[in-house]
Amino acid sequence: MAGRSFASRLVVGTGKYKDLPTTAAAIEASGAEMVTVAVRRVNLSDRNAPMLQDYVSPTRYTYLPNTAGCFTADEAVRTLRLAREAGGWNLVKLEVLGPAPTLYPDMPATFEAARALIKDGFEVMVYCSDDPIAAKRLEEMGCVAIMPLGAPIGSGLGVQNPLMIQMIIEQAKVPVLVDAGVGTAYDATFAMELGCDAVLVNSAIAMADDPVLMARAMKAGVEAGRLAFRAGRIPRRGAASASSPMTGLIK
Amino acid sequence: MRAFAILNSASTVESLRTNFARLAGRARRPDNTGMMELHVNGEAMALPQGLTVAGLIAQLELDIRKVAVERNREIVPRSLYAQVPLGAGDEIEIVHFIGGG
Repeated sequence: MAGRSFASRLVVGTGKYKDLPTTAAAIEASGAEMVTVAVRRVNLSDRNAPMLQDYVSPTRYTYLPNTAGCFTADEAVRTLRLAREAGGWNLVKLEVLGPAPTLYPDMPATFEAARALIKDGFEVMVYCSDDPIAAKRLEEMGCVAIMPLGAPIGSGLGVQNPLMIQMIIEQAKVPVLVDAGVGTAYDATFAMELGCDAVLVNSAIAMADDPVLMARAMKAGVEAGRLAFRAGRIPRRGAASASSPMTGLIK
Repeated sequence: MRAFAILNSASTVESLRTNFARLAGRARRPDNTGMMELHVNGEAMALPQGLTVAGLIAQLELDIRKVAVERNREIVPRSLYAQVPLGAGDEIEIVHFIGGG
């Protein structure tokens, strides 16, 4: 993707963990090579607070700065310009959300921000609605990866609209990642079985009772789903088909 | 009051001091005390006139490799920190990476 290769098809977020050591341990267990990060003001009243970079090395992991918290295209562009200055990374995750309780992608604002970021030299991985027309348009604009939501952010409901996700995958010439909605390992497996290139998971790992164990489960789930996709599943059928031959039975 | 707390916590900088009357009333006007007022991450601070971005980061004891700086909504490239002076009334944003999804 965007001229880079990754062995892992699991991208993980670094938010919502109870502390930075747990963040580091879970990311290690997930096998992910790419992690999403947010850009925020330095806390001037607690300047010695530990920093993410001390636990999740930007030289070991590909940092993917996001635009979480940005509700307009202007804010998104401003945030990612700062991220580029802080880390020198051109590869970014664009997300422009509507208000709670849906936090659904605001597609007009997403288009506007994507256009501005691409013009500014960014390689944009874009969080978007599960709308094949919008996904195609983002690809044509030059986005390097399309990331439709499986379900609302943090909902843990799994892929709610598999048909649309599959249509997006089938038409795309750039990688498709299911972003948002994964609740447990089989949701990640299911997304991968649909044929997507990778899955992005944050809450399902960070908020699990044991984040490190869930990170391992997600890793295995993504691998299983990818293998099953490549293997080609049997068709679903409405009648039984015996597994053992019905010939040569003893009399 | 926040500005006072911040300045007191910057142990290395005894010359830093604040004047609440100035903070309240005449934020943008340079004066002859050698100090100027500006906002860093939304918080009022009194800083020596002529201080550069590099000087500010040093005073705040931040790791220059882990932050990015905006001055009045313009990115200040890291290579220019030592040359870009701050001005009275500036709005400075200093950001870094934190956990996010």
